[in-house]
Amino acid sequence: MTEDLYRLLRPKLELPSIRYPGRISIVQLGATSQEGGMRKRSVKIGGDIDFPFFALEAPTAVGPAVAMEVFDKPLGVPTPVRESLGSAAEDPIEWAKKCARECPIDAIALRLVSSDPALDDRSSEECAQLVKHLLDEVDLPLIVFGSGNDQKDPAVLERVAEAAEKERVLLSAATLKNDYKRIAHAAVHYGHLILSRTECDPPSQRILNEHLLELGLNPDQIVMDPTTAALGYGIEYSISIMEQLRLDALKGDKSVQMPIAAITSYAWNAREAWSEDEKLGPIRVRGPLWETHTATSLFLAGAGLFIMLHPDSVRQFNKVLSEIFPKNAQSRLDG
Amino acid sequence: MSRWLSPLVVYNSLPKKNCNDCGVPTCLAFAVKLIEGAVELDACPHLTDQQKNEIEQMILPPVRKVVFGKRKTVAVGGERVLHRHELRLHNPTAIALDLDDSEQDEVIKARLQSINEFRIERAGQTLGIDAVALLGTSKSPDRLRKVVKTVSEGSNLPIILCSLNPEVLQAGLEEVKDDRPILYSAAAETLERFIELSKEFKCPICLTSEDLAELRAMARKAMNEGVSVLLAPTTPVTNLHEALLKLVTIRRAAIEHKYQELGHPIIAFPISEPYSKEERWRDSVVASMLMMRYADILVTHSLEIPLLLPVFTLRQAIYSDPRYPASVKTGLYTYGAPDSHSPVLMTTNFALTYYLVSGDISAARISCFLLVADTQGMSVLNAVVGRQLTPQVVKDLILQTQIEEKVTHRKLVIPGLAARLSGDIEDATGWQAIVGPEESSEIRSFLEKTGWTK
Repeated sequence: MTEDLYRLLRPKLELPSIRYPGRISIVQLGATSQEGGMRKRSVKIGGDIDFPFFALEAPTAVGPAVAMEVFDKPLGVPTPVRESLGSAAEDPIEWAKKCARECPIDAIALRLVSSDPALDDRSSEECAQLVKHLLDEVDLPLIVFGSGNDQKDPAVLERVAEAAEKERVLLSAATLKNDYKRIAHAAVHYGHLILSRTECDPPSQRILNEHLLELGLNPDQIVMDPTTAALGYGIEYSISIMEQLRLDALKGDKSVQMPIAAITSYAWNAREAWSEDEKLGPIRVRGPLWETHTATSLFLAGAGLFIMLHPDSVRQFNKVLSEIFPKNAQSRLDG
Repeated sequence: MSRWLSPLVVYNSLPKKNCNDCGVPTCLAFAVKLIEGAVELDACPHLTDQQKNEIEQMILPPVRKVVFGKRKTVAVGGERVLHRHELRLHNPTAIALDLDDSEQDEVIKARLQSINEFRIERAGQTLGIDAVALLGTSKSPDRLRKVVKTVSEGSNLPIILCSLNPEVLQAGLEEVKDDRPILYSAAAETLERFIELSKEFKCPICLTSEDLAELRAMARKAMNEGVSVLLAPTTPVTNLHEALLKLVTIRRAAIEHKYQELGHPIIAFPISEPYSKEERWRDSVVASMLMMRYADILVTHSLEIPLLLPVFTLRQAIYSDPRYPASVKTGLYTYGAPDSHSPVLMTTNFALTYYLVSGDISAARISCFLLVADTQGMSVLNAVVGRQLTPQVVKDLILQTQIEEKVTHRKLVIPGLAARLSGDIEDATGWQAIVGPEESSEIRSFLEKTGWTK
C-alpha cells in the first residue's frame, strides 16, 4: 500500500510511537534468471517491525506469501482436498500445475512423502529428479519437505539442494533431532533457504536458529516453523509461541529475527475439518473454512509464510489479504 | 511495554495478617489473585471502605469491565494485556446475533427461537449465543417497543438495543426497564441524551465515531458522568483493514499508553451488507480476526454451524489460561456397563484428548474402562516427549484406580502415539500393553478387530 493511502486510513489519534530495536529479516524464496535461477518471479517475506496493524508508522513490510502443498504420492491427503484435485492428485507435476493455474499463490511446497523408509523408501536420487522435473515444469518458487524421517531427510534434502542449485529453495526441515548440519551445509553451498523446525518450544527454536547461523546461514536464509497446531487442537499454543517469538525478536533477540511459517494444512487433522458429522453442517463449507481460520489467526499472531492445502482455503485467505494489502489485491485475486 | 500492576503494591494496602479468612493463605497470594481477577475484593473481611476504594482504583484493569443483561448476564472487557501469554485474557468475547425489528412478527419469533436454541458442544462445554442485538431499522418507537416486548418475553438473553435515535431507544427501554441492555449507539450529537438515558435506566451505552480522537473525547464526557461505556469505532465492518487498525489502536492506547478514555470494551459488527450467501464465509473469518484483535462483543448474522463453530472454537482457545493446560480429573472412568472381561483403555488428562476419546467411546456404545493418566494436562504425543507420561505414571494409575480388582484380565490398550512406551509399561506394570490406534475415532474398529467387543 502506498504511504499516502496508509496515512489516509490511519486513525486520527496521536499515539506515542513505539519503535522496537529489532526487525524481522527479509527472506526471498526463489531466484529469477537475473538472480541465477529459473523462476519467473521470486517472493519476499518478512521485514516486519511489529505485529500486523500494530505499527502506525508503516504497514507490514512486504505482506505474507502463500504456498500450496503438493504430495509426491497422495497418501494422507484429506478427502475434500483429493476430491478438489481429481486425477491431478496422482501426478505431482499435474497437481502443481493445477495449483499454479487455478490459485493465486506465490510458491509450491512439495512433500516427498514416498521417501519415507516405512513407505516406498524412494531414493534421494529419484527425489532430486522429481524436484528437477518440477522446477522445469512450474516456474514458481519451491519449498521441499522431506518425509519427516529424521534419518532419511538430511540425505534427501542434500541431494535435492544439489539438483536445485541457485533456485533458492526452502529446504524443510532442519530439526534438533536430525542432522541439521548436513542440511545447513547443503543450503549454504547450493544457495538455498532452511526451515528451522521446533516442537512448541521457543527456547529450542532459539538454540536451533543459533546453530544454523553458526553454520554459515544468514538470517535472510532462515524461516522458523515453531509448530502449527490446528484450530481447536492447540492453536492457542501456536498463537502464543509465535507472539512470544515475535516480541523477543522485536525487542532485539537476533536469534529469532526471522519470518515465521504457518503450515495450515495441519488444520485438516482437526476432526471438525474432515468428519462427516451432519450435526456440524456440510463438510464442503466447514473443511476449507477451518483451514482459513487457522491461517488468519496465525497471520495476526505474526506468521508470514502460509503453507496451505485446500484451494478454497487459499482463495478465502487471499481474499482477506487482498482487503488488507490493496496494493497486491489484483494479483492475489487473479493468480 | 505493557507491564501490569505489581502484587507488592497491592499487598501494601492489604491488612498483612495472613489470616486465611478470604480462603487464600497469605495476603500476598490474595494480592496476586486480585490482579488476576481470580478473587473479589469483598472476600477480605478486614478492609475499611476507604481501603477498599483505594485498592479498587489500584486494581482497575486498563480495559474496564462492563456487565449487561439481567436474567442472564454477560461480562466483557476487564483485560490487562495485549497478548495472552503475558497473563491471560479474562472475559471471552460475547457473540450476539442480530434481530431486525422491520421483519414480520412471525419471522422475528422464529429467529428468536433459533437463537435461543442454538447449541454447540465442544470439549466438554455447551456453547450458545450470548446476546441479541435488536436493530431498530423500522425507526418507529412503537414498533421497537413491541419487538422489545417479544424478545424480552421470548428469551433470557441480554439485549443490545440498536438505534441512533435516542427517542426510539427510550420507547424500547421502557419495556425492559430493569434489564440493563446496552444502548447502541451514541454519536457526538446525541451523546448528552444517551447519558441521560443511561442514568435513568442504569444501562451501559455504546459510543460511535469514525474518528478516534472524537471517540476519546466522547468517552471522557460519559466517564465524567459516571456512565458505563463501550466503544464502536467502526460499523459495519466493510473495510477490514481499517477496522483492525482501529481496534488495535484503541486497545494499545488503553493498555500501553494508559489512555483511560479508550479503556472500554469494543463492539464490532462482522455483517456483510447486503448479506450475500456466496460470501457468507467472510463474516465468519472477519469475526474471528476481530476477536483475535480485541473485539469484546461481536454482532453477526448467520446461525449456520459451519460458520459459527470456528469462531466459538477460536474463542475457547484464546481465552484458555496459558499457565495451565486444560485438563480433566485423572482416574477411572466407566462407559456402559463394563464387567470383569471388559477392555481397559488408557489416555491422558489433556482436556481435548480426553473429550475426543470419551466422545468416541460413547458414540461407539462400547462398555469399557478408561484410565486417565495425570500428564499435567499434556496431550499424548507431548506427554511422551516431555516425559509426563512414563511407565511409572501408568503403574501408579493402575494402583490408584484399583483396576486390578475390577477386571480379571491384564491387558491395557495404550494410545497409538505412546507405542514406544509399550515395552517399558509391560515391565513396570506386569500388564500386557496393547498398542491402540493413534486416532480415537478408530477405537471402535480397533476393538472389533481385536475381537474385544461382543
